Amino acid sequence: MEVYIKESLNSVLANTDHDLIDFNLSLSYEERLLNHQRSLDTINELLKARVQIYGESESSTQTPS
Amino acid sequence: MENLNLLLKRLLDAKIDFVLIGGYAAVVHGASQVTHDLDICAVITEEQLVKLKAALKGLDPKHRMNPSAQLSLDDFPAEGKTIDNYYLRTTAGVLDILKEVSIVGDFEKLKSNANTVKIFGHECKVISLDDLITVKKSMTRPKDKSVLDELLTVKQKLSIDSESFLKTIKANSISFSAVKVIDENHFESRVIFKDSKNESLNFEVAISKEDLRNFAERLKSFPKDSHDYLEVILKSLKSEKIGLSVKVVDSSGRCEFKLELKEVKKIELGMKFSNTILAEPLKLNKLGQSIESWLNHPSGNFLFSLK
Repeated sequence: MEVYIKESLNSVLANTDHDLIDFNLSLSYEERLLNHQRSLDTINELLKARVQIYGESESSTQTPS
Repeated sequence: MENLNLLLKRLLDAKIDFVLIGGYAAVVHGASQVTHDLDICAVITEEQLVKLKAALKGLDPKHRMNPSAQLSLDDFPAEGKTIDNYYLRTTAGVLDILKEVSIVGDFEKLKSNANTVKIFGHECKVISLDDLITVKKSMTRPKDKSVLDELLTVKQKLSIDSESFLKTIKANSISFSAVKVIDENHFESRVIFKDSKNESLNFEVAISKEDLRNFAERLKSFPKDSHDYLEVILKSLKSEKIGLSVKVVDSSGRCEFKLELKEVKKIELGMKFSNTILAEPLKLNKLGQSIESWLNHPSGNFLFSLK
């Protein structure tokens, strides 16, 4: 069982972007949220651009849960 | 435009009693996934509802579960009534308020386990990493699995590598200063570690005076020629099941860490000590005496430096 858990964890660790996590952990809590907002703004700009190019689609108007 | 930080700040400014949960809590813990909504756990009493309405003023909050009705939070629930859960859309983004997180427990349980972090000038309760991992494990969506992987990685990274920490501490020197009183029971301080180039690392300290008094008593009981104080602190804290957490607060070249003494069962360190710094040993006994003299100082403020 213990071996299985270790293998699962190793698999998780291998599939995660460690540099990104290290970077996030190097930030203050507030900086993490500010950084997230910047990412969110970028995504929303891209979504807006998509709408301009392709028009409204069901997926672009849905609110992610 | 979505502005989840604005939403969060409004809730904090309004002093609503809540615990941050969901994807935004994962971001606070260090995950990189982007989320479009703000989830909190709170018991919305009449008093809390008044605060909530005030907090969301100007953000056009509407209940979104029945889009055709477009009910405004100002109109529903009616005065004197409350509901358990709120699924709102505002001009700053989606806000979900849940009265409990079933897999973990009710609000009080969640709150008792929560971490308190400083955000936008407020103390903000955030679901603990372990509770959030439990929640994400119970969910089946791919994005939850992805967040779970990141949270497990964060957890692994925060597990203490005590050996490398102690090696670094032993090789370096330290000066210690404490300056700011928060209230009669708590204070904030800075512990400054200096390296041979005289560059410093600032540790921001927040502990209760009672904890500190006990701590000083314990330090005074050590022999005068004891080891480097942090090493012994760590050892003694381990045996006493009192933790020492050191977390990165500022990455702008001068690393800054938050350090607190608290009753936990393990020690967590959220930083890398490679190529960092720290200097000569402190005498535990002397440190204990200095802390005690500060605690007894009439002004409550003090400044001292030991090398």
